[in-house]
Amino acid sequence: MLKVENINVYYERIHALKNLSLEVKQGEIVTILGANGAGKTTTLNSIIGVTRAKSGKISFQGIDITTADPSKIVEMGLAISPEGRKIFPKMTVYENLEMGAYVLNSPQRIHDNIMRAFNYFPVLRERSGQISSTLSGGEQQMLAIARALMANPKLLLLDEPSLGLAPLLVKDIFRIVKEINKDGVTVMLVEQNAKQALQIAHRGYVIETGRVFLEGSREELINDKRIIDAYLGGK
Amino acid sequence: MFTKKITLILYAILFVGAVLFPQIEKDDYILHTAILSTIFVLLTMGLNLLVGFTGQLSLGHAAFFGVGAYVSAILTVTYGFNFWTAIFVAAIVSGAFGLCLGFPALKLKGPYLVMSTIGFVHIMHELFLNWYSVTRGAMGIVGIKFPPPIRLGSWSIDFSIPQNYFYLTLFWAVLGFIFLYTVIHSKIGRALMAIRENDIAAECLGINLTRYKLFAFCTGALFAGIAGSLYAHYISYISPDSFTLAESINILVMVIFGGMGTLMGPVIGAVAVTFLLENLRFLQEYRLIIYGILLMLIIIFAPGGLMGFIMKYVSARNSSKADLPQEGA
Repeated sequence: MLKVENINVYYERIHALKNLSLEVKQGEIVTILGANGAGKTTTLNSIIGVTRAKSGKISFQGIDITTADPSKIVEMGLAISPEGRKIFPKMTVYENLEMGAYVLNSPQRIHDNIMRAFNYFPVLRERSGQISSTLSGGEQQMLAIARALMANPKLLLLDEPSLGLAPLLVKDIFRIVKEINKDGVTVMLVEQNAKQALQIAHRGYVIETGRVFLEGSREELINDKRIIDAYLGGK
Repeated sequence: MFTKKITLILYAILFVGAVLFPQIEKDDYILHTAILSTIFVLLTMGLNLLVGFTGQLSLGHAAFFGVGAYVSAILTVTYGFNFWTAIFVAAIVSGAFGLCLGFPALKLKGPYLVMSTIGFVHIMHELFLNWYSVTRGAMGIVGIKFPPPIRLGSWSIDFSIPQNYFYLTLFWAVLGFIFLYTVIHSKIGRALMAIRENDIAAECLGINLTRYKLFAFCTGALFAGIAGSLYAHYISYISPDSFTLAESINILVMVIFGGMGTLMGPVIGAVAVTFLLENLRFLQEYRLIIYGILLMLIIIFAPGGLMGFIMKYVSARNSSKADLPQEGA
């Protein structure tokens, strides 16, 4: 479904991604693990088109999107819940969700999608008229995911949904991500919280200093000694 | 939509009040102030689209005002064009300048954007001052005529009468307001506000940043162009000194005073500040001191401007739901 082939990304003179390749297949949850500064967010940003790859190729459902405009990419069925949530703080929860459906034109579908979002995240229904900066951290994260879902994406990119949340909330959010995936949305999950991410993912990539350091199925990664030592707290 | 109905009724009352104003108030001096304030309403509405709704802080507005005034004056005085052609061309040219400033501004944020817009004002000021063959430099352009009268059979509207000129400027201000109201309550308005709130998130949702930022710059400048043309043909004399950074700041102050990011705020701000400055004239040299103190008080006690203050009071009264009006009443 999504194919990233040998992309190189630079920030000025810093070589952020070095010949990075990865693939996401229809129906999967693929997680990207890695430490701070490894290039996880850069990878997502290059896919969605906010940052540009200097070389290499990114294709989505067989169509080259390496240099496509973010607005076009979103219309094709890719959506992102960006790192640090980035909700619209002064808008209400409902308005934030409406913004997520910016590329849709049918009011009926927007309404349906909002109802669907409320089913995944019932707390957002209670908060729908509230200014979103007054939500708790967990609720804001839920809003960010719900907003990304509003555009009816085929592939949902989640950038560190567990960032700054209490462990109990992280569990909750990951359970919902799994549910969303079961309903037919492919998910690419960027995480530092490897333990939680590997519980719901089918496959994973480990990125270190801009390179794919390791890839494999969930089982392979969970049992890999290097992963256990570096990301799962050793044993 | 209870509150929407009330705001629409309020708009209607204000509109009728503005239309009746010159019939009730015959004092030429007050009418003069009223005409100036409607011109400033056009300026503040345009700037508010950029600063208040799109979140792009610009101090370049006086330059667009100047471009509109100069284009209109040069076309009518030097080349003998009709006023109606001139105001149209002034708006287009000013809008084009808006696009020109918009392109480099796409890459800049916050203080860097402000500095580049300040640079723009200075460049345009130098241009007005030194392109002698066209702008007549520091001497300015004199003898700009009132728009020709409109004749409908035996009936005619003579724009050299202040009442009638007021209706002309009011017409443009109302037209501008209706345009902004439509834009802000459409998908475009939502996109602009999303860019103001968080441009990266907006981009991630598929909002084309380039297109909407340029739209805001271009439309804001277009409004200023119309205002410039109306100003030139009313005052009948323009010089580079009317279009300086100080004027930009003055327009921005009006927007903040009235309430950024609300539809009615800039209108109230422009009218209130224009009349306030005129009515404080009896204080002579202490005028600006009092004005400055008033501004500080507004910023301290009503950071959302007059409109923000009113809205806070209203929403505190119908405290049922925390559904604060966002796109401005």
